[in-house]
Amino acid sequence: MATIQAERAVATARASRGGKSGLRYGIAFIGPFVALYVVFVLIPVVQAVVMSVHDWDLLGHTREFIGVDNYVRMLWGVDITWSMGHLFWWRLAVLALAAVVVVSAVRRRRLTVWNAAGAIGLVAIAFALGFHPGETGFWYDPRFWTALQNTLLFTAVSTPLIAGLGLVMALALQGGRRGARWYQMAFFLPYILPVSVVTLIWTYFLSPNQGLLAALLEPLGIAPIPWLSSTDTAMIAIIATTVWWTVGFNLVLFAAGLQDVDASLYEAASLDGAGPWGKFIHVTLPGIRHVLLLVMVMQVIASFQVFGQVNIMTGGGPGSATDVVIRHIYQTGFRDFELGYASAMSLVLFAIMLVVSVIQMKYLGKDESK
Amino acid sequence: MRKTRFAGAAASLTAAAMLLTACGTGTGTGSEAGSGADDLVDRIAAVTDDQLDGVTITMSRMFGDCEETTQGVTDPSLAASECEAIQILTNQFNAENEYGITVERLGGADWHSYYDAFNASVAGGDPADIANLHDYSMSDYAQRDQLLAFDPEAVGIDLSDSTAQAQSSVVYDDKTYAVPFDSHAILAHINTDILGAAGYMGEDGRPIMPTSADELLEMAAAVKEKTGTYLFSLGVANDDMAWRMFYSLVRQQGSDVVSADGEAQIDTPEAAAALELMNELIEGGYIHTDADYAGSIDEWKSGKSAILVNGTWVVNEYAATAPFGYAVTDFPALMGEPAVWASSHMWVLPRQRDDDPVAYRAALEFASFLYDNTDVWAVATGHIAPRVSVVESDAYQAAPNREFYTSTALNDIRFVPQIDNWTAVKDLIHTQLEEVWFNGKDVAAALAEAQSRVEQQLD
Repeated sequence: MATIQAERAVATARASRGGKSGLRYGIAFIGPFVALYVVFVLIPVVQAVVMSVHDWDLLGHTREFIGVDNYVRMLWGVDITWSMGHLFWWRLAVLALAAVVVVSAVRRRRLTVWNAAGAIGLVAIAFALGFHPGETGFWYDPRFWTALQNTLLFTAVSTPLIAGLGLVMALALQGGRRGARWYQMAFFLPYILPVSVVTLIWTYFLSPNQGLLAALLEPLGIAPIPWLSSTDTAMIAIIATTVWWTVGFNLVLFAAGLQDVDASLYEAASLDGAGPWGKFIHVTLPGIRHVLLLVMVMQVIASFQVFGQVNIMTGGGPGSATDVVIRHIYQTGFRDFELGYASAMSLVLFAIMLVVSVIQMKYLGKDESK
Repeated sequence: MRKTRFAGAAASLTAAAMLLTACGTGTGTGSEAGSGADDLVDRIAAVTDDQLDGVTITMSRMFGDCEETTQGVTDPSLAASECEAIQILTNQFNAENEYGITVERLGGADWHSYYDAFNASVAGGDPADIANLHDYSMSDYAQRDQLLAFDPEAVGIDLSDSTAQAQSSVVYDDKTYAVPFDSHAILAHINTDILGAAGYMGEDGRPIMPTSADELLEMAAAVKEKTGTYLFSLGVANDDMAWRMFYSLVRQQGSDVVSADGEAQIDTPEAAAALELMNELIEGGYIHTDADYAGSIDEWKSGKSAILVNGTWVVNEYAATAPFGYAVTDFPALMGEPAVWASSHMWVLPRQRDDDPVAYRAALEFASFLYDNTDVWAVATGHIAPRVSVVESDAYQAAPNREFYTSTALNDIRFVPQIDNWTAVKDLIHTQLEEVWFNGKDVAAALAEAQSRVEQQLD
């Protein structure tokens, strides 16, 4: 009996020592990351919060505490009123989306806190869209709203396009087709180019006077189009450039994801009489769900931060047709020396990106099989 | 327990961040640099030639990189671009200056990204010893005590030889903060083949330019009817050239968009007249809004327009490469007195943390050398020399086409107002002009909004 107790005590001591050394290894393992994360992410975020409540001059010595004035300047104006009719159809569409979220959840008898929060959020957006300047009113910073609108448009159009095209290309090159590796490399190649090179290539390509595209369209009877200097086409040109530049990265991610899908599932689906579309919906998509989530979240975050191609190719113009939030932040901070206001805008953009990412992870990351 | 630990960690983190916040983002010399200014002037004046021997100073400038073509070159006559001209002048100074001063250039930047790099260096507290700025931005740094005020005469810089515009552009709050290097203005670059076909070339082989808005519209109609081309090519989309034309038309009426004492005055009959004239040109199909800077040049070079609105900086290039008869003239006076948008490059001495008088003196010697060589710069680039003696010199007048914009050089140039953050103010006005050109906004509404926005900015 005493022997057994002694053995147990030794085992406990070993386990304890093992646990302590495991903890040490664990801390050593994550320590460098945590240190870098704190220094380069958390502290700058805290700094940004502090700066956003100050009138903080980049070059001077003005660091006056002004509370939420920067946020008021960004989000408010003079004689701002609320009316039911403002952006009526847009708001109706948002409310309809909220109704869909609630009704579908109730029908499935799975009304969760997330569904409720999503619906409430959409109703809040619909309500907020009712604010606008009155007859003699104006926004303090109308450029912020224009830039935000353009950023949302860019994100809404470019994200599904880049992700969808990446998936289609990955599917087309799936199954060890001849030359697949070569094509993958060719499609990935633009991704490694710096933005200056990408924009140079596309600026030349799109030039209405000397560009290759104009030369290609001319035999078809299409007159040269001023892609970058027309308000109708500038954003399209920016999106096309971005798609060409970044689609290769998603192609590689999807290609890797597709390799992980169990081939026997396709055989089973064939035996069940599934066609290509059925296999795609019921086998491929569930099989690459995690990759799809990764791609969508990363793409949305990247799209919200669009800057380089806009700054170089159009400078936010013509007019304000391609102005985006990061460019506004950059100019406010580095051209106008207003770091406090730039920080406030950065934090609002961060909040928007965070909310969108959480929604994506919640809905795209949902595992229906559980 | 966990909550307590978390709260403790969060408090520590916040404290650390606040500490970093307070200590970080150094902004140069600080207010203490402003104190003892007279003492600093005396210490700079007391620097001896021996102390300058072997001193190395840094320089930041906006004219790009051209190491391959300028390494070891000290003959300014070999310069064929802005970059080559300034780099060869720097090489020449390094090789020949009597003090043994060496100038090292900091990492290169073209003018698009120059101010970001410069601002970062100032904010980081480590700017170059001598830097190059435009006239409109000097006050932003001078008012923040980030530039050294100096006595130009003490280092042999005779500013009384400069044009009145150049002299006033280097002074802020009654102190001199810069040495002028050039002026650059918009000019009319002309395809004489097209103007000849339209009947607007004189017997002397020079273009016959309009002297009023009505004459301009007549000329535009004649060019369109007889040659099928646009009267003007100018960068409207994603470019400042159309703004510069608008600004010139306002200044030709004796007005400005911001008064000399810093009051917004954009909602005026003069601004409305300028904008309406430009609208008439657009609506008549005599100019269009689809061209950016490069597009406007391509269009003009391919013979689709009679006149390119562009700056002094391209005169040498077009004189050498235009595939048709080329002439250049002062931008025409259409709304009254001759006046045209202009800017300038100037040299400033950013304040340093250590306020080393020897480095300041070395930088002033280099600035003085550059001022002495504005003729080299102006002849090599097409820019206008800021010195009257240079503009009137035979060598300058003999350079390609310089004789045809002497009036601009000596009389017509109009610099923008020296106010806090001119770039942001200009952007607010330009945005409203673009609302008219691209979104059909009413002229009166656009100018009214520009007025209130600029007032808000200047408050």
